[in-house]
Amino acid sequence: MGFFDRLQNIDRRVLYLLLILAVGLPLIFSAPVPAPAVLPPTRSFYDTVEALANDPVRRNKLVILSANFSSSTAAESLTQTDTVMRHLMRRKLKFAIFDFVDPQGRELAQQTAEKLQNQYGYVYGRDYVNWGYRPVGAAVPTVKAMVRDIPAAIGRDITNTPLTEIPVMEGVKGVNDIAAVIEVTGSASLPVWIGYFQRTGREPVPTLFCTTAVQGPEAFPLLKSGQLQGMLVGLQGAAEYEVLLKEPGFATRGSASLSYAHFLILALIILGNVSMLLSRSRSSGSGTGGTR
Amino acid sequence: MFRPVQGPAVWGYIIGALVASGVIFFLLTLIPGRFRKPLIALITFLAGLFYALEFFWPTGRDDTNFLTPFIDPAGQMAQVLQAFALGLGVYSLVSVHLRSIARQRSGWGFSVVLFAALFAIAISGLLNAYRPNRYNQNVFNFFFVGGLQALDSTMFSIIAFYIVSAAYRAFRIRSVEATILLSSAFIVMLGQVALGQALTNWLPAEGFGANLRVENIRTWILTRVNSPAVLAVDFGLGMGALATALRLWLSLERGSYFDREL
Repeated sequence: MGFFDRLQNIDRRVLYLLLILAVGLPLIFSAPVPAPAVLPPTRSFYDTVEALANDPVRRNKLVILSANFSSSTAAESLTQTDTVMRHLMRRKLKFAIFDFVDPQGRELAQQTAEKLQNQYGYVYGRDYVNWGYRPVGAAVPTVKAMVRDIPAAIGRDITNTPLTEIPVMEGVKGVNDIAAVIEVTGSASLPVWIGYFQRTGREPVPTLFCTTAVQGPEAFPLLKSGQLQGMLVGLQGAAEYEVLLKEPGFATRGSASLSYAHFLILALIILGNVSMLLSRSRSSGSGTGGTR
Repeated sequence: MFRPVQGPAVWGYIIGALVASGVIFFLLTLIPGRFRKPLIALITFLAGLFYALEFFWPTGRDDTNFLTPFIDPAGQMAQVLQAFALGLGVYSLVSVHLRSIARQRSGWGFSVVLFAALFAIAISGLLNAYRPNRYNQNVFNFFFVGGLQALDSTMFSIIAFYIVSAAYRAFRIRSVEATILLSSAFIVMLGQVALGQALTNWLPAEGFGANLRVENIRTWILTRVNSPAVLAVDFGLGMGALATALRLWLSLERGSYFDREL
């Protein structure tokens, strides 16, 4: 086996080690990486939340933070939840955590809220509430029922208190009392909100989407159609949001890891292709024939 | 439409519901085999008909019709049915793994681990929810944060290693199509991350030159090239979903779970 053939067949353990270094070192030593450019979907997400906060009527309504994710996508989804929740708390917007995909979501979002609540002076029940988890198979009937009567459709929060007795739920009856829906997910749960909730009230409910990088491309048409008012794509979307908030956190540090990991993959692809082409030209030059 | 019952009366309703459910289940077992499928088909049809009628029936000034008040109880009923389905799933899981342990089949040790994990997370979760104190919270956090959360993240992150290995071995420019795919992936990947964006951040942020910044080329690919393709796929999926929904609603679907048992 020639040198170029060997370059096409690097041991996978070497590749794994390179990836560990590319991801781990920037996290440990905070590698120098320029701030990411804020892309239009992230900008419109931020502007939508700001517009809510600046509107004297809508700022008194409730934001639904739909935490439909599990720990498997925590690097992206949990970081997005953290940054978005910071923005909501900073602008003193009331919100409700809700989950109908994975029971972990309600717990992870609650942990995030509890971590941030002291910093922003938030109190459970007064400023935010956690409606808990509802089974995924019942998501559509539940969300349809929420259009007219949220307290009846949800019943009780995670502390087993009826929603009607929770201060933050005061005046919240149905879809017309919802300021926005923020869907954080690594699953295909967004259509439930768009299909059965968004356009059922007097005016459309602004819908914001925090998705994983791998699912982002599928949602771009919804931005153009006006069904989404903003979108954070993956960890990078969260890093862009931190730029807008002027509050660098985990997403910013993670953005460096992401950059180096992407460059590693690109470098390996180039290496594989260049060595393949050189190996081919050498083979054809020596008259032994190349591989296709 | 229905208001939640509070206080001790709730236990009366729970016991009444259990008795009524038991009677209904018993009556269902008495139905002859040849009538069971038509009965299931009828219930499925009626359940679907309710939502279809509620959606299409003309509404009054308040945007409601005579079926609208039943949307809430239907939603709650769906949640209860799903909870039963969850219980059925746990029952099935437990019976399969209990048999595995009892007969000491190959890998029966994993079944023991499954039971240990199942009971640990369930009991600690229930204790934390219904007897919240510092000890119960720590036990729950030990299993949830230290166990489930860490394992779940770890399992998913392993994909990254396969992606690196697969990208290195599979992304080869062997044809025109592969070259186009690779070129667009290259640009999208560069435009996705800060370090890639830095390569062209010397170009102006506004005006014609901005179009050549890598993040803008990436956005153009995603919105102008990728979006129409996604829409076309979605349209096909939507048509397929509509056809499948109709087949399920009218009980025309055939195969496993429908006209024959697994």
